[in-house]
Amino acid sequence: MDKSLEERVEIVNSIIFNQVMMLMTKPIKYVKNKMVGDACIGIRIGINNLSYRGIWMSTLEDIKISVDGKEISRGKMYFKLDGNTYPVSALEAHTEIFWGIESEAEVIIYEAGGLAAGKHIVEVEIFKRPDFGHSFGEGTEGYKDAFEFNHPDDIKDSLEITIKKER
Amino acid sequence: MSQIKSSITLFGFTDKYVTGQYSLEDVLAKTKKLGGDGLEIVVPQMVKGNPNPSEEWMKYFKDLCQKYELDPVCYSIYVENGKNHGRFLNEAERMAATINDMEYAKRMGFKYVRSQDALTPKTMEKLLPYVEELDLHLAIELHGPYSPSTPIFMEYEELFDKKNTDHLGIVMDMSSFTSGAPETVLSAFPDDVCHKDILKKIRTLFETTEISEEKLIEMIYEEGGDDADVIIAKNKLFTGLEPGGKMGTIYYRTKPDYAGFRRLLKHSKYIHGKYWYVDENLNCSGINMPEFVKIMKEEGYKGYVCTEYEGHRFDHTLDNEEQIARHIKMMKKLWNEV
Repeated sequence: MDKSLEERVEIVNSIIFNQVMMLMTKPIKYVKNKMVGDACIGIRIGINNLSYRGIWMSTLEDIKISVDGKEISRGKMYFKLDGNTYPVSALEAHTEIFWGIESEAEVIIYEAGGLAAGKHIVEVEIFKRPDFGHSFGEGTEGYKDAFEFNHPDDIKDSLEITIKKER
Repeated sequence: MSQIKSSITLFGFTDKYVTGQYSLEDVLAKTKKLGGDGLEIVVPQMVKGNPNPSEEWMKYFKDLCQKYELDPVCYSIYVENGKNHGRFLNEAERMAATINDMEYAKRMGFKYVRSQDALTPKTMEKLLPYVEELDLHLAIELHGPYSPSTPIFMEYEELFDKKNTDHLGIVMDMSSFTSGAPETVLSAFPDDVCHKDILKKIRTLFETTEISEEKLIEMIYEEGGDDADVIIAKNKLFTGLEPGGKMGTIYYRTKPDYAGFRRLLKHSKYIHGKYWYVDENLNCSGINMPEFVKIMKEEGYKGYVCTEYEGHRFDHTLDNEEQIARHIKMMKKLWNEV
């Protein structure tokens, strides 16, 4: 074998332990400016489904987005699902909303001007509890020991895009 | 001789469905083509409008089943304990959700409703009158890393024995009865980082003998292997558990609980034939299917075996449709030969 033992151990460890969560699709679907007529009022980030099945919107514990390295404040972010819009800060309370595989989802950032012409890097990080698990109990009883529900998945993705010069 | 009934879980088409390459109709057409008599649907995945599908969608689904001559067999539901931050569902919520799902299952013509162990035995017992009223079979899935002797499943077994009814039961998933890693476990590792010939031998020895893990590790070094091989053996050959221990992982036992499998069969109408690889000679290493089929025949099992392919967990390059067809052929062959 050409590689040294150290190199091989490093590769083996990274294959075993650095596996990213198994996602069927890339979380970021698209990034566009949000227009009203010819005015740009913000940014739209299309989000693909985050599981092999549909998920409950309330399992989204937080969404963090940065554009060109600058973090967007939570108050500017809204989550749009099948035409209805919710503040990102309120997602966890909506235990009645199901995000199906065929649903259309996007995060809208209300920031006048959106993305200027040129290259940008958009990074998205979503913290999501699993929808189900082996742990069980009644209400809060034993919940603190439910490992899976107390360790949300940290789903990261980034996209580099070029916005064409405005017309 | 009675023939085994084959069901295919539509979950086997997940990758193409989720990425939009297959529509629901494509998935059903494939299910028929690959040899399924019936189907299982993962409700939050393919039932549009879950948890309350429309009349229109249910008609569309029933028409598709008729068109492709497929029996809607198993309606797979969940106990969504992650729904609320800071607490599990309470019993009233688990009951309401299960009754709701069962009503839709009935209306779409399903016979069995598969739920999860987090339902709890006491809630399942309270649901019995509703299951009877709808004339369904409500079953809990036993999935790896759990086994028949895991405490909650012993409680379920006690409930099934006490009630002794066709309306409550278990869906045993073969991930709970796996002897060792599938052949494809080494696919993720490039040939030039480990000694695959040695690891293949160790994999087979772990699956088929009682040689201890310590001894197997010594053998790796004796045969000329090194630390890289030992890391793979410890983390991928001797265990299927993944970091965090979330649901869906596999536990390997050289001697799976055959007695438990036999005991629980009398409460089974549907078995999850979970597998990760069937080779061209219709062998499924890692799971001792000939022995399990023998037990099913001895016990007069008349239910379904569902083909549940999850091979992408180990090898993304395999053709899942070829794998599904092979599994059905393997089961029919075993049923006739064992």
